[in-house]
This record gives sequence, structure tokens and C-alpha cells, in this order.
Amino acid sequence: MTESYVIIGDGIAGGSAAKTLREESPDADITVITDEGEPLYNRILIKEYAKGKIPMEDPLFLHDEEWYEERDIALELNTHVTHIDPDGHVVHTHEGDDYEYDALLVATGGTPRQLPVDNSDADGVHHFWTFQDARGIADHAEESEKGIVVGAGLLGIDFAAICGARGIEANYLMRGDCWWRYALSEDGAGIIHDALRELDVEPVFQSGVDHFVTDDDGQVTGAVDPNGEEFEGEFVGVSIGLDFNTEFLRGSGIETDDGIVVDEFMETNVEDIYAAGDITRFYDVILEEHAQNGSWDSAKKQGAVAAKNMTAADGEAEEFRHVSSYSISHFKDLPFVSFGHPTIGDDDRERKYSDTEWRRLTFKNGKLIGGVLIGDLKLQSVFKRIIREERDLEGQKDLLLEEDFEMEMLEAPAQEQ
Amino acid sequence: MAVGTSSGRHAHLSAREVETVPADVTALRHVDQLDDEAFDQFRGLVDGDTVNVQPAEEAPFEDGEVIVHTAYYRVTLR
Ligand SMILES: Cc1cc2nc3c(=O)[nH]c(=O)nc-3n(C[C@H](O)[C@H](O)[C@H](O)COP(=O)(O)OP(=O)(O)OC[C@H]3O[C@@H](n4cnc5c(N)ncnc54)[C@H](O)[C@@H]3O)c2cc1C
Repeated sequence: MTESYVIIGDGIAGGSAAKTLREESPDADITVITDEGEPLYNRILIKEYAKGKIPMEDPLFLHDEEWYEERDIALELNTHVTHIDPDGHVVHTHEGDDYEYDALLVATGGTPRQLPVDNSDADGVHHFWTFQDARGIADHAEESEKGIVVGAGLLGIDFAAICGARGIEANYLMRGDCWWRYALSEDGAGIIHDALRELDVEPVFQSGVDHFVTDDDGQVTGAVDPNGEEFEGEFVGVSIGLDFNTEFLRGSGIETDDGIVVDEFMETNVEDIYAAGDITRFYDVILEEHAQNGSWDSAKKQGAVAAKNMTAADGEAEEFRHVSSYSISHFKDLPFVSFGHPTIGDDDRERKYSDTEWRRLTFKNGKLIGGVLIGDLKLQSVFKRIIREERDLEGQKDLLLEEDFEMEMLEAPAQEQ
Repeated sequence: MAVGTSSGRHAHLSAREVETVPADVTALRHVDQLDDEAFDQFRGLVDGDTVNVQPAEEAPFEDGEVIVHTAYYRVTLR
């Protein structure tokens, strides 16, 4: 009997799952359903398109429609899944079509959250997730002079970089005392603040948005912060987090907890249903607890692991064991990477080496679990390897802050002694 | 400006900073799309370090590929 697989979502998790499913199961029926109007594109490069640095669209597409035809994969564009019926093994769509499956993968990611304030949906207030968003942002940014950025995290800074690249003078409104305060101290964030100022983007601390101001046509003209201060701007970028796309799972019995809960094999609590990518709260075998990743490499790997397990014979499941990383590449000569889980843990160490170099590492139960490197990324792969190998660093944590740290400086792992 | 090279039995890799993405670019990746090994090799090419020799077919880059990091780099494979 021919197996039938359905994937909801054609982001990198769904796209890599489709590729792996076809490799693992040459004769299966495979359907990919997406509510976007275009096949898989490079979501992490659309910011460069919005900045105007990559003016053409073609190189940003990873799969064209031929890619699916060549692999005999049915691609359903502009199709929104509204409900799934796990007992009947059926997916229902808004367009009225039903898709039966033997195994289902949910890879639906998230949608940018709106600020819960007045006029947060005014013209000129942008959220950034899709290529369509990037096109709108690019068009508007090109003709704007003053901007406002909200959201002091990894995605908010993309809006700041867009303002910088487009010559928009902007204020970056942050709630605390520093950018990405969950992972950076003021020492580390200070380096980023200086880099933002060089782009003509001014960080404004202890701020935020009370409401947006609009003109008679409903176009945003500014923002008033909770202190009553008004900032001018006809171009506004808001990135305050994602709401995970799980509405269609209501009534399905699938366990959710700000995302879909899966084990290390990407399997949900409901038989034959898997999830991958940003949407998962997965069991992290290194952390030994459930965790979330919001990065390209992790979504890609989870998609592949899920696909392997959807097709695997009993007892041959592959576990997801991965240390992700996420770079900021907007600042000339100032590389930045965050890896693993830099916002959690029971201990941390940090050091500033110069006005442009800083390192922070987070630990749990004596093991390295994440970190942020600014200015020098030579140890990125080494630290990721230490995390993967779950090295016991009790008594050795400070060594990792040595400017020229090398793996060999650590005591050999117990079993090798 | 050439910023680094690595020679090998079968492959010679070099990376050059470019201002724009050439119109005929065949491959374009963000640095986060590189696995750890490719990332270290890329960093080496950019820094001008000596990078280990490898056969062309195992190179983690395509000839002419542009890698987006804090600048854009075009990788050449000879
Ligand atoms: C501007 C931007 C910059 C980024 N930069 C980086 C970076 O530098 N490095 C990095 O590692 N990561 C970066 N990320 C994050 C990275 O892109 C994501 O982690 C990754 O793309 C997640 O992939 P995914 O497949 O899980 O989800 P998504 O790519 O979000 O795909 C989910 C798909 O499912 C579709 N969908 C949702 N609900 C339904 C439904 N009910 N029916 C049908 N289809 C549905 C959605 O429309 C979407 O196409 C960036 C993200 C953005 C937006």
C-alpha cells in the first residue's frame, strides 16, 4: 500500500521534511500545504532584500514549482488549514478540500505579534515574517525619512538595520536599559548600541509604545511612549515576538504549551502526528528539558528528523540533537552570534575584551548550554561542540573566557582519562 | 580585494568581498546556513588563514556562491 504524507507549512522545516520524505520513501504520496502564495524561499535573507542590498528576487527562492513537480510532490499554495481530525486522519482546509494522511507533519511556525496599543495596525506600521512583508517594507522604506523601531531582540534589530541601510533616521524604543536584555548585559549591549548609533538609529531606553499617532488618512506619523514622549516616524517596524500558528489544532487533542509539545523524535502526543521548526517545544536531549529554538538551522534539521521518523520502521527512530546558532550580520566588521540557549541556565560568565569584543556563556548543571559572542566568532564552533559533547565544566568555567581558549585547555572527559 | 585563499589537491578556494550581489549569482546563502565545518572554513577564507586542503567535490561552497555575513563574500573554487 502506498503511504501518504501531508506537511502543513512550506517554510524551511516543511521544505526540508518534503525533501527527506521523498528521499526516504520514493513511492509515497506527499502533499505540502501552505497558505502563502509562493513556494519555499530564504526567509533569513529577505531582510537583505528589504534593506535593498539584494534587489532581485530569484536567488532568494530555494524551491520553485518545478522542484515539487520533479519530485512528484503535490504543492498546494494559498491553502489555509483550518482543522485536523486525528481519528479520521484528515486535514481540512478553508478552501474546502480535505487531505487524508497516514502521517502528518505540522510545520506552521508563527505570526508576528501586534502591540496591544491604539493604532498598532495603522498604515506604515510593519511586521516582518514573509516575502510579501519584505516587499511592502522595501517599498515603504525607500520613500521614508523618519522611523521608529520597537522590539529589542534578534528580529527587531533587522528593522533597525533596514532603517540604517535606507538612510532612515530612527529611534529604537526599548523597554529596559539595553538591547536583548535577556541574553546581554549592559557591557555587551553597549557594543550593539554604539553600532546602532553608527547607522543613525538611536536607542531609547525605559521606553516603549503607549500608542501610535496617525494622520487623517490613517497613516502612522509617530509613537508616544509610556513616559508621554512623542517620537516622529512614518516608517514603523514592530518585532515583539511570535504567536505560534496552532489555532487549527483546537479540539485535536495535540498537546500545546506556547507551541506544539514534541519529544526528541519530533512526535506529538497524538499518534501519526509530528511537528517541526519554530512551532515546536521539543525535548532537548542536551538540556534534558523541553525548549524552543527560533532559528533556520534548527527548523531545517527538525524537518529532516521528523521526516525520517515518519518513515522509519519501529525502533529506528532518529533523535534531534542539535546546537543552533543565530547571527546578526548587519554591522560591518562587528560579527555577532548567539548559540544554544543563551537566555536560560543556572550560571553564567562574561568578559569584555575591547570596545568591540565581548563574550557571555550560560551554564546548566555545570555544562555549557549557550552563549553570545560579539566581535570575534573564532570560538563559535568550539563552544557548540562543547555543548554537544556535554562536557563537565565544573571548576573550569572561567577557562572558557580566556581570550585564546582552546578545547585542549579543558580536562579530558572522565571516560577518556 | 582578495581576503583569503586555500589551496588543495583538487580544489583552490578563495573568497573576495563584493559590494553587490552579481546579477548572475547561482547560489546565495546567509552565514547561518553553513554548518560548523563550512563556517570555520568560511571564516578562515575571510581572515586569510590557511585552510585545510580538500577535494573539489567535498567543498561546502559552490563556485561563484555569495555568502552574506557582515559583508558579502563571493567564493571562487578553482
Ligand atoms: C526577517 C527574519 C529574519 C530572520 N533571520 C534569521 C537569521 O539570521 N538566522 C536564523 O537562524 N533565523 C532567522 N530567522 C528565523 C528563521 O527564519 C525561522 O526560525 C525559520 O524560518 C522557521 O522556519 P519554519 O519552517 O519553522 O517556519 P516558517 O518559516 O514560519 O514556515 C511556516 C509556514 O507555515 C505556513 N502556515 C502557517 N499556518 C498555516 C495554516 N494553518 N495552513 C497552511 N499554512 C500555514 C506559514 O504561512 C509559513 O509559510 C529570521 C526570520 C525572519 C522573519
